[in-house]
Amino acid sequence: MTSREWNGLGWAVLVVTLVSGLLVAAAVVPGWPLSDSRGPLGAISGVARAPDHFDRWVESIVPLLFLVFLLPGVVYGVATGVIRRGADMAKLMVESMAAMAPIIVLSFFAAQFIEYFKYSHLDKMLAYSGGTMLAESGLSPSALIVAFILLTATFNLLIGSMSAKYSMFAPIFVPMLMLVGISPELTQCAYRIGDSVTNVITPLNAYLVIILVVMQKYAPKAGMGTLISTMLPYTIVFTVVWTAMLLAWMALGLELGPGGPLTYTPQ
Amino acid sequence: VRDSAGVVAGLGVVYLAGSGHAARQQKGPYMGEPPSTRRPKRTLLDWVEWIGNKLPDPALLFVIGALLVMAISAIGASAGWSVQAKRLEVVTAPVLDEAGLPVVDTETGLPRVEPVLGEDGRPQTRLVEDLTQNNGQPFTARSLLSADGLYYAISSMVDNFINFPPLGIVLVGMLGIGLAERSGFIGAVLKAVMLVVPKRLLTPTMVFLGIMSSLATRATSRPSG
Repeated sequence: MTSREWNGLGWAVLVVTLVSGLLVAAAVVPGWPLSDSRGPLGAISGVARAPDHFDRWVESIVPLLFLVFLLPGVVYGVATGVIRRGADMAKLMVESMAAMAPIIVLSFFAAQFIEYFKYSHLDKMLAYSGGTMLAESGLSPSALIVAFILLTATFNLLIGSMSAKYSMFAPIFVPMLMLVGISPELTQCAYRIGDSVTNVITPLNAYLVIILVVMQKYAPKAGMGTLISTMLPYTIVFTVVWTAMLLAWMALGLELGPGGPLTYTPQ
Repeated sequence: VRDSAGVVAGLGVVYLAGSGHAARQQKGPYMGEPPSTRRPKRTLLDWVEWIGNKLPDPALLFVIGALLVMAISAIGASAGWSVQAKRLEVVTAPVLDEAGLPVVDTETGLPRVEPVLGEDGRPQTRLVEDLTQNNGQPFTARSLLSADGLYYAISSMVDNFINFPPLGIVLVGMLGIGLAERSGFIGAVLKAVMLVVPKRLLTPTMVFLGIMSSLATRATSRPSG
């Protein structure tokens, strides 16, 4: 690291601290933009106050993250000379957006598929008939969670995008598993396990190519098959251990987080 | 470095998988001959790779999915599929007084009820028809291949796209994170952390940073991970 980079890093860290401090203040001080009428405690706990309305800072989390990354990024760029004019900043953003082109294309088709599914009512029909079947099958929640993890892991081989896959899964599996008394939080937790364990072995993961290039620096003869067979043990171990961890957590009956119960109980 | 990987409990997993990996490495696959001079043995993993390469692009998979939904919706509509919406309900029983008579709530004038607890001490639930959905009627399949269905499929395309929930979130998030990455800020933070950390803690730190950077980008979600 050059002294210029250290200098830039110093300024950027200062900015992150300032911005984060301001945002926390904005959420805690009554009357500030992000503060909630319920006072500082409610603003910190992040618990929903109505089913469709969260605290102001939760509602604006994505723009806040945007600012928390953007501002130090700009300061660092200016301090190190990467950004000299406004146009440089715009150029870096254009490059970031250009890198997102594949997900824009994917989103277009994924959105059509999901909305067509909704229009046809097949999504609700699948959710309710599946949920009724699961409820009558008498399978334990643990067995269902394991099955859902394996299903997600398998689908993840085909559709890597976490958000596109969840848009497809959530309308079906969240209500389906709620009918068996599994909370949406637990469903998402299981989804996260299945969604992560097979990332490193699916040839459809765009980042696998990048991993392969780095790997070939050390093992020039390595191909995609070498990479996948090298990483497969990790996938297996991760799947087993994380599933076991979740099942152990369920057995302990602990909440997944504040206001995040394991089971769904209707009001 | 390898020894220190066991320090944190969670890292034991990585360590175990890593030693398995090392055992594989001794036999080689990539220490052996180049694939061109020796006919490679077809293992399950080779088939995985072969099938993976034959699969269409994920975007195309969704096109195929959309076409399948259209076909199935038409079949379902003509076959008259219907499914009743269900919901969970807590099983309740009237509260009885000592004489065995129902207790009446003085405010509402109705018998008071309480949840029935199961063996595990939690309220018992049962499936009942959910009459709040679809005006109490069962859901029936709507064909996308009828005149109305096809009109919907075409006319809704733009709205479907711009209202796709993850799209705006991902793009806004990446405007900020992408700039921080491209200006060199994120790289500098990672480098600085690795320089400051003592050598024995490099592996745990690397794992920790991997988790943190995954969290940071996951908060706004990423294309394929």
